[in-house]
Amino acid sequence: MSTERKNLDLLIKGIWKENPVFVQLLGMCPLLAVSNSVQNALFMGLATTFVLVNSATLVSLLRNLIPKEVRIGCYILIIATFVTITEYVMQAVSLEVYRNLGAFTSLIVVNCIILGQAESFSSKNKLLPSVFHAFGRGVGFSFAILSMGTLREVIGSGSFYGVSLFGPNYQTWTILILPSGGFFVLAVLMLLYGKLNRRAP
Amino acid sequence: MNVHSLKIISALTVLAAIAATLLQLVVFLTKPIIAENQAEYLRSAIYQTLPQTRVIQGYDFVGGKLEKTLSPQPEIFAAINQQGKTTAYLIQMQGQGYQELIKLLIAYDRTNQRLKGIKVLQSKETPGLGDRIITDRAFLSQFEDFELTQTPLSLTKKGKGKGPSNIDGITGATISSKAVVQIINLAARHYFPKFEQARGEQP
Repeated sequence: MSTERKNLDLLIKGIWKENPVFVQLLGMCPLLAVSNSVQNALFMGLATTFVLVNSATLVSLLRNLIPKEVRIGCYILIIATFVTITEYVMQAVSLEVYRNLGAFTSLIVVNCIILGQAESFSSKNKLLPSVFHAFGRGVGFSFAILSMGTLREVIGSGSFYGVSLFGPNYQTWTILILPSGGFFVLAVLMLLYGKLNRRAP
Repeated sequence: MNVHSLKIISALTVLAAIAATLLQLVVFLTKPIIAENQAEYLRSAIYQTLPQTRVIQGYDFVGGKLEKTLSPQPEIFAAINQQGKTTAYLIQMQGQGYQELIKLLIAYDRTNQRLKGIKVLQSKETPGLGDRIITDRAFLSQFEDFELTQTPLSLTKKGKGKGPSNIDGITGATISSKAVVQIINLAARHYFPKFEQARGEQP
């Protein structure tokens, strides 16, 4: 297989075949907590992808310099740096979104998709495959959180990205906006994903 | 010290240096934009609380007197209407909510000693319950044109007890509405004597 083909394969894998959320069940905390509206989900997906790709780049570039004994500390330092950058940029882009996401922006540091990427892939692979792999997984996570956000906001508050869809008489399903609704929607989506991949649900 | 621990130390130092440089750069680039965003957010909150406002002027208490200031973060703001009259002063005050700090914007008309309205600037109250302090019209409208004959204000259950210093709470958001009242009391204790003191000169 050619390198381009391989890289593309890594990208697709992260988005669908090895989706970090639906297959590996990683990154559940932000997924359930901030998928209550499309806007929150979109920004969380973008922020996570940004941190994922950049930390993967740096870890991969420095993989021969980082001593094995202190590698986890180094990865956390790299990830935390990019998370802090994201926090500042997000405040500059939209204060409202930053307020809505609350502590979950800083909690990207402990998202296991990102640390897992650094530990199990980027630290052992060259720059290009590493970036493709990270980007694929970032898009996969964004896809998952966006589908949750869309379902929850459309059914839960009858709007999409704050724009009302069904008029003022729509009876909202507030339960979907509340934390328990996150679990329901995740279950439904995973069932659907299992069906599409012809797996026993 | 052996070569290996030197390697560890140098790797960590290099990494820390990279991190520090990147962060410094980002903070340098975004800080003015963030400050501008925050000021803009506050301005729009003031216009929402007092829709008649045309001009906003910052004031600081200097030696017991109110003095105009151009600082981006003045102690209080004055809302000035179309006729050039100061309708109310805007105080920012924060206090402990159910989980996190609640930050309030309080509009106070010192000539008539009335509250003109409040707005929640920042809060992390429980969605669906405590966060109704941001949206509940019946609760918030109590503070619009509220005559302050007696402070401190006290919170009562909905429909119970009618007194000049009573505020009706929100059912299911008792702690959050109590917090709001306490923050207003805090502002009253802290700022109202200052206003009285500065009353001599009319800005």
